[in-house]
Amino acid sequence: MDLSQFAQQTINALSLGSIYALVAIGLGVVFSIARMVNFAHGELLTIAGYTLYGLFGRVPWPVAIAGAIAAASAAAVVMERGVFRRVKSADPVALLIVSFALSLMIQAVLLILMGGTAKSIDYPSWVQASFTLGGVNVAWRDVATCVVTFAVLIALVRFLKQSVVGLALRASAEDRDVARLLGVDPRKVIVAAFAISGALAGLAGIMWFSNSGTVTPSSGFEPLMKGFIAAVLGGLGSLGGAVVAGLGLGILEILLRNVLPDGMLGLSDGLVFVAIIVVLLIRPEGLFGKVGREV
Amino acid sequence: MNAETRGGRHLRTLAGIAILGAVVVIVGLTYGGASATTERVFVLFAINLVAAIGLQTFMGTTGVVSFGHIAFMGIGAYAAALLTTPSVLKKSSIPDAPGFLRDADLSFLPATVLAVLFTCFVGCLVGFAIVRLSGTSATISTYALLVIVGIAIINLPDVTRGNQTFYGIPKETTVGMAILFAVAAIAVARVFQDSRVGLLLRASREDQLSAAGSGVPVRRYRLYAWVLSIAIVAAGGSLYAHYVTAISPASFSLQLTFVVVTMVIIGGRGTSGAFVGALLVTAINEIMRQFNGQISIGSVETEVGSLTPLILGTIVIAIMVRRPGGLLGDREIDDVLAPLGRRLRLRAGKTEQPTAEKG
Repeated sequence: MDLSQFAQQTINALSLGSIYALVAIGLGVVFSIARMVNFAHGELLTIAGYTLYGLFGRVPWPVAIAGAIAAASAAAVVMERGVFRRVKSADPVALLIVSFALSLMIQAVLLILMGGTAKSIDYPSWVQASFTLGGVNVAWRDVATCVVTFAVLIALVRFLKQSVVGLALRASAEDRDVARLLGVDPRKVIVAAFAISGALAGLAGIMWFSNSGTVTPSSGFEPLMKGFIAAVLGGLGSLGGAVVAGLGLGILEILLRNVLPDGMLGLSDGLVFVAIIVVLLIRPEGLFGKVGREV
Repeated sequence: MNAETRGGRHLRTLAGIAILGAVVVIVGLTYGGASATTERVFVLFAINLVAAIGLQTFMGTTGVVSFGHIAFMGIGAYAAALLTTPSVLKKSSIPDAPGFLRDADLSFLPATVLAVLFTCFVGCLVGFAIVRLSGTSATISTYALLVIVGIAIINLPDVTRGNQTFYGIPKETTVGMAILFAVAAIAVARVFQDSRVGLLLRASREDQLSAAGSGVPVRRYRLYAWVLSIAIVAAGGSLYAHYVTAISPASFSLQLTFVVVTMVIIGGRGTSGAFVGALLVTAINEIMRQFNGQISIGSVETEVGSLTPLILGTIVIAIMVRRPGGLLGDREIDDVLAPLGRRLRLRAGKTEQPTAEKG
């Protein structure tokens, strides 16, 4: 592999890893507030994908993108108010199963409404276009993915550190009961967490589907799983951990795809999962998780 | 409960096994033998039941959600199928397999025993890693196992035919076999659950630190539960393979995982819970199958089959909202029936009759 190829694959890996990181952060925001892993998070990406399918070509593309993010965010809030809030049990297993059921139900509804065939999303042509920089062919979508993820991260950190809602979120994540005693309405905080998580899922969906250009009712599954794994590897609820693990997962995936001989390419996913088990054995709480916190 | 003597506890275990076993035997002999359709429904129920009870043996006692057990159902299914499929057929379907597999012509039960032992061996190897983890980390790792085993099956085409269907498995799963496997699974799971190890494990499920502090070797006991549960699902896999006669890696997917996890969750945390869950899910699937073809909801035409996840999902959510511990919670069928029987005797002086499950 020469240098320009290496540079190209690095950009691929960073772009893929950025999407995983965005999904992982979305899952982490909800986890740190509501103490639940939302398996239906992948369907938020899918909903963003179908919104793009409906809007691209009809309205200017920035409006379509805003619409997709809004749709995913709204869907997340509806999930919380309609379903998760009603589950009285604080048992994380119960909530996990409910979100799993919800994920399958949304897939079934999408299958009924949109059909099982892949719908191709009409992204603006510049997304697929690429430019050459010092002999390296760079796709705009990869640049956009990395830049947007980075920008969103900075915005999210500033929001959490400097706004009142952000303070309430961090306080609730730290200690729900004390935050409540100090006048933080737990319901509002949870809705805010889901809205943010949904917006992040919408963004992730826009980027994820720009790669294949098509969306099916079940296409949210793969990014969800990879994001989930990144979230656990990074330590659930740790923002920095999610970013590091997401990027790491993207790099590992692209690396294996390039390094393995052709005959063993089918094993690359398997090796990724072996690596995951090994990391969890060494650090059961994730790379940046708090030691001793049983989930 | 705690006032009961040890003998009383053993009696309850036996009573619980007897009630569930009797239901399986009676339903199997009457309903299962009535027609081809009812036989299919009953055998599917028995397969679901064995898988659910196997998963429950780990999930119910340790509180760890496992997405990985279906992988071992797959290993059990493939291992048993490799041994029972006629060697004449295997010479053409898997010509490059090792001789001892290609030339094996075992009958169903010995093959199942060997398959279960092999699966337990594999399970034991990975079990050392899994039992070190708790909560979400453990769940992720079991999911990783499901993916890894799926990839392994696809990438061993010499033995498994890879992505292609492994066909020609003799049809050995009769109603009688289904009854045998189901009753055996019920008995093994309930005895383990009520054993010393099972009780201590359930204590560790409630509070792992306290249990470990009181001297419960949590990891070792979890390994016991893990291996035993894998043995049960592996037997279920063999039962399944010898019913459908053709299997592929896609048979042991996340879809099946979700269905079996659903049974365990909606039923409750004991053996009876898995029983109720398997009964309910099989019934829903079957009822949905009765309505063939297309229906229209408003202006949208759709296949009835695509409604099954909607209904299953709604039921799961409804049960989790109303009864977060599942329909039966921690109770067993004998716990449910004991006060009922006492009330019946008080009311009319009649002898108690074990009433059928209310699904």
